[in-house]
Amino acid sequence: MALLLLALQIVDNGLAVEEPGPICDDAAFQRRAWLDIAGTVPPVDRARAPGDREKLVDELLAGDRYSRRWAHVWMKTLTGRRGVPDEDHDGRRLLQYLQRALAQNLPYDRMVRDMVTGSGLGDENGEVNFLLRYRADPVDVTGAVGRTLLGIRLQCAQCHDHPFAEWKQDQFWGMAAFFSKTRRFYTESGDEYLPGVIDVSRDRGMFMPGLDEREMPERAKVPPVYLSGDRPADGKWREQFADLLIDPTKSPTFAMNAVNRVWAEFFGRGLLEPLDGFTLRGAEVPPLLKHLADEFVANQYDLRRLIRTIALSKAYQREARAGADSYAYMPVRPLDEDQIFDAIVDATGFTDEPYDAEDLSPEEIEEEESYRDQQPREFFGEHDMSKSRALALLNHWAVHEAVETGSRTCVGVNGRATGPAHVEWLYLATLSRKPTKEETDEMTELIDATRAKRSRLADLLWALLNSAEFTTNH
Amino acid sequence: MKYCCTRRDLLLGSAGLWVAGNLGMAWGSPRAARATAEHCILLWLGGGPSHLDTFDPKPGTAGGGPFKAIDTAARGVKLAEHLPRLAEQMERVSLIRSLTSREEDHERAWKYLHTGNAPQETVTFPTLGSVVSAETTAPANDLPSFVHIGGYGLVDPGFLGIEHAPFQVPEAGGEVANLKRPDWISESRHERRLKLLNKLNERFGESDQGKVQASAIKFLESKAIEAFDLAAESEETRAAYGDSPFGRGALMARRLVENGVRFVEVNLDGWDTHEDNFEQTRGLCGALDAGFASLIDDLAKRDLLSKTLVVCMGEFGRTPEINAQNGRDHWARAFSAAIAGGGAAGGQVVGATDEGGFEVTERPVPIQDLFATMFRCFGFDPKKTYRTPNGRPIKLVESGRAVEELLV
Repeated sequence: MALLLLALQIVDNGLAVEEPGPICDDAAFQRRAWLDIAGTVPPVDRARAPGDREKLVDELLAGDRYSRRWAHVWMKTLTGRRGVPDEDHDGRRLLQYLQRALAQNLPYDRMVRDMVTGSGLGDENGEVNFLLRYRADPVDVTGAVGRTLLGIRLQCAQCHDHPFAEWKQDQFWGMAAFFSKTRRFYTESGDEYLPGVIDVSRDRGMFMPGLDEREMPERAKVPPVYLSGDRPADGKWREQFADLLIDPTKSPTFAMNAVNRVWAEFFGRGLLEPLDGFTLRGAEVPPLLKHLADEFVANQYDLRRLIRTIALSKAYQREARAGADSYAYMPVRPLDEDQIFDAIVDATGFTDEPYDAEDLSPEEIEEEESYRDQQPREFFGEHDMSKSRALALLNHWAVHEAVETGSRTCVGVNGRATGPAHVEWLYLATLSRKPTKEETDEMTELIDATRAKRSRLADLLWALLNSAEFTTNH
Repeated sequence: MKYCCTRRDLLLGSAGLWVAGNLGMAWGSPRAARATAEHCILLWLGGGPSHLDTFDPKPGTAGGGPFKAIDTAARGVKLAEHLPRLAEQMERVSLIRSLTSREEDHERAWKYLHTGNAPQETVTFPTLGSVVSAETTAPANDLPSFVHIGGYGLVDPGFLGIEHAPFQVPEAGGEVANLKRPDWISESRHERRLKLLNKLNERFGESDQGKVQASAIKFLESKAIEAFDLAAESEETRAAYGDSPFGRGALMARRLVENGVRFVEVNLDGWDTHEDNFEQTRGLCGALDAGFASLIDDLAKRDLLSKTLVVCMGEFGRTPEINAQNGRDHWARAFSAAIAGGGAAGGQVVGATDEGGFEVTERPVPIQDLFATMFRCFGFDPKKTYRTPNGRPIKLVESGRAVEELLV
């Protein structure tokens, strides 16, 4: 407890801003925390009585919506893909691995080690699909590890020494060489070929290309050398790479990158931007990020604990304002495609229960994912709030159906004689707050509630689902 | 969020004049005065078409394959044999046979050929359609500036913001999703819903979400939305464009441009022919030939070609060597694009490849030069600097010179 208070104190000091905005009310905090931690809006009964913030955060982190939401978040960070299979990897299995790991609160360094060292068939060992996403190719894997796990733009050094970048070409290739004994293989299964990863004893050798690939300069074989200058002993290079990667003394940006990416999920921007903009010159790192990263390491890479500190900080509890660009206010952020889909489903009761990757077969996950992959894309477009998404919210049959379902539930709970109670229920279900007296009066009148028509409730619910207040996190 | 508002205020809000005033203007270069493009149609050949089997035929060479070369309406310009109708249009179309790039991964090359910038992890460059959307005035009839038909959805407005994201039509033909409300919601009921929505948004305050939604609602109410309905075209016209999603997309593109849409991208995927290249390419050429040739002919007949830039290309070419599966693999060192209208000359061939189609031997055109050329047709200043959300200054294309001999 005292430790948390101390950590929070440090966060608040680290973000000291002039004229900080007021702390938001409990309902606003609850909605924000549900969306960021659980990926959806709270149910009506919770929205009605928000309760203690600390208890809420703990409860959300212990719940399965947290592991489900954050499996998707990490999936996007690590692979830039949703949990669907493609010709290179089986995203479903990686999603499943991540969800399990998060549900057990597996330490982050362990998770990363699993993914970097994983061997065997991607179909059997979910974590292997991280390397498979990058074709287990030393060059692609090195770029991806640099970007997603170290927050550095190592791949810029792939082709040449950049005049201003810190990384030299031989450093890139030295890192890549750790994977030069790693191979991708395929196993025939029915009429499919399943990819996997295996280490062999023979090193294929990493060769640095010249500046122009059309010239073929003398090419020297590059030995494995980590950024820290460490060289592997004989044996399993990939495992030694993973050990160096997760060792805070060898990889000073490893923990900071994780903290920065988690932070960005909560605030819409990292403490350090761009997210892959770390350099060896630690001076550019905000002291707060450095501090949170040290804590993260000291706490055995406990992701839940990290999120707890972030979510209970004053900065996270401030009132929202569109376009806020300091920590004086929370910026208003559009819901992402998962959040908006799940929020519509949960607010209206439309479609089935949310699924748990743990309980389903790959085929079932695929079905769920393709539903979420294709449908919301069709519903909501590629972008957070593009015209395509706006049109989908206005017209898509699923939204109309959701509105019908939701209005029926509303009548079921609150009775056929419609009135202010119905208006309040719809606000709680969608906006996660009670309407003000003024709003209740205005909306009750606008839907002419005295005429007791469910269709009028459906009209209000449709408007609520389309409202900027519903489609953003604030 | 904020940067969108700023941009909007800057470009559209405070002065549509600012854009309009600059469009035809000099940008510091006297040549820009001849900018004539007001619209652009990009015919995207996803997967990377074999340049040898389309725009740069090499019959009789070791890797030339079985396709013959045919004469075209442009003297001395030959196409591969499965583009006979396009051949008739070649006085209006020019070829660049010397595009050259180093990106041979689909995704990276897709981004490169869509943005004019080699992909960087830290910046999302806007694709051409979003640039055109940002640099031109929006159609007065409330249609979107940028429509994307078919293909996979990497199209990202990047730092230009969601206002310049495309309206996506997954497949042309039939009813376009989400443009109509269900029949059982009456006009009066719909109006009531909109009134409720307005009240809610008023209370929440101004937001980008609200603005995009408002423009979406206007779009739905626009009479010009009929441009998406191909049933209004004669059977004959539809037949000419070809009975394929691509042909219907090309026809829709013509209808959209006629109605003021600034940029339409029409996708024809399937060119990644690692196996059975010739069989597949022949089939794809059938769809391409009908759609592309009809589009050019139609635009010309309607006096739209001079103000509509039409570009046809994919992310790279394919290996001049034929592999063991009778296919061709990725090849970015030398490949081709076709360009027509909108201030681009017809009947020209820029650049050349060696006998086998391996390397560029004449007038290499880096991707940045291609983009500089397209921007010149529109009169955009390629050196114009934008700021990304985190303050980094970015030019539309970092370097690149327009291919002068292609400009009218």
